Amino acid sequence: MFWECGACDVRWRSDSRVCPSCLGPAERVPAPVSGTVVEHSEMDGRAFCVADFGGVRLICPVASGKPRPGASARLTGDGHDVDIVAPPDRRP
Amino acid sequence: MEPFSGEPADPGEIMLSASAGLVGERRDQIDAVVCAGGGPYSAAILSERLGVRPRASYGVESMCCSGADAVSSAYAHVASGTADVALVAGADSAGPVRALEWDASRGDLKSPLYWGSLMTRAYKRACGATEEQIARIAAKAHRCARANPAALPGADHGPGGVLGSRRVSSDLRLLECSRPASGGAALLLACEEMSGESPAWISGLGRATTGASFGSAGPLDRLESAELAADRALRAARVGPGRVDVAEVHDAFSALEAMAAEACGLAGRGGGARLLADMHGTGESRVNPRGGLVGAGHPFAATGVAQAAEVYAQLAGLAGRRQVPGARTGLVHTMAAAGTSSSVLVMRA
Repeated sequence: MFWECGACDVRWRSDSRVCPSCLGPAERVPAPVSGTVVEHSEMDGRAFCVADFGGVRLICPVASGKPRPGASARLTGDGHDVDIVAPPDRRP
Repeated sequence: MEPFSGEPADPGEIMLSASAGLVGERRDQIDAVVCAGGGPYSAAILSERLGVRPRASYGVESMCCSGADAVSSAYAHVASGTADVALVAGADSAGPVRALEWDASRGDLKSPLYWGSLMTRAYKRACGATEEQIARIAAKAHRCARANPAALPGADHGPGGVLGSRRVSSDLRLLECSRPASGGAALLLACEEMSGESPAWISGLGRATTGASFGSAGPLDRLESAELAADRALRAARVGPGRVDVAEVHDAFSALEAMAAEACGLAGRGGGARLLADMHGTGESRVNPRGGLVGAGHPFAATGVAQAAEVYAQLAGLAGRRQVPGARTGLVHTMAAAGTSSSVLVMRA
């Protein structure tokens, strides 16, 4: 889940019930499912990446696929689960 | 400066040891005691243990920036006239790596090793820095640390040793990572009339906060908060980065030493890796002469105080085997939480 300010169209991930733009009340909304890989790495044989989901960047374990900058990413789970599926980059 | 160690230790005891030698006959002159680390009420406790009754005593907490921010806060007391002499002490204990738990943008991947890996790869990708260059930066850190009696025990690992060290991730090797340490340092700041022998002067302060969460950290291949803080500090000091003779920058990971050098204007964009890698070959040590966090160790809240103490020693000509010849202007950079905030101090002899 993300936080969102309906008035400003601003979203964020960490707990804060106040919009950082207008200081108005925010509400919890489902995280966007689709995003874009910004950068990636691998630790203990497990790939992870930072991906942008509608202006909100998350560090996520990669559940499947090969991450590359610009590759599309898909959030799985309920928002606290940040596994993503990052299909292989099909760009030339 | 208290020697760094890899074993857990009592920060209160470290602060006391680091401060006792400085206070001496100045005990009755100290108007402010500012601490980084050491737990609740550490500054008042330190004051009582030192027999000091300052007007102000308090702690400063801003994760890895705590030490540098404690120096800045003490400076503000002296500059504003609310204190003639201020004691700054920083200390911390080795232990599990701390991360900002509030930051949900890191998910379960809270360890700094994750953002360190991502930023290292992003920097290499954007600036063409090579693994060999990053290894030479780490080798410089380990070489410099061997001339620092307060550094964590270690060896003069050459680039080959760094490249042969265990891979922590696909983008980080063990000897390219800072090491948690127990340790501390203390400084006395005084107004001109109360300054002692061999003073150095704080001539500029800069601070920048771009957020708290990794999701707000800005570009991964640059340290935006450091760029802003350095620009503010250098403008305040009215010097250009080309005038900086010696610098202590926050190398949580070796690639970040290059990024910090660029952010502070010590190298052009993309030139930090080459500048620092070449220093390994030439034996120069004007950036991170203590060995940095990678070589000397990282006692978290105390690091900024240790960095400032080193630049003071360099400017006062008291750095011994680490002395950078002719150092007249120095810079300290610390950053916290994946570079979401930075503090920069500029000092002059």
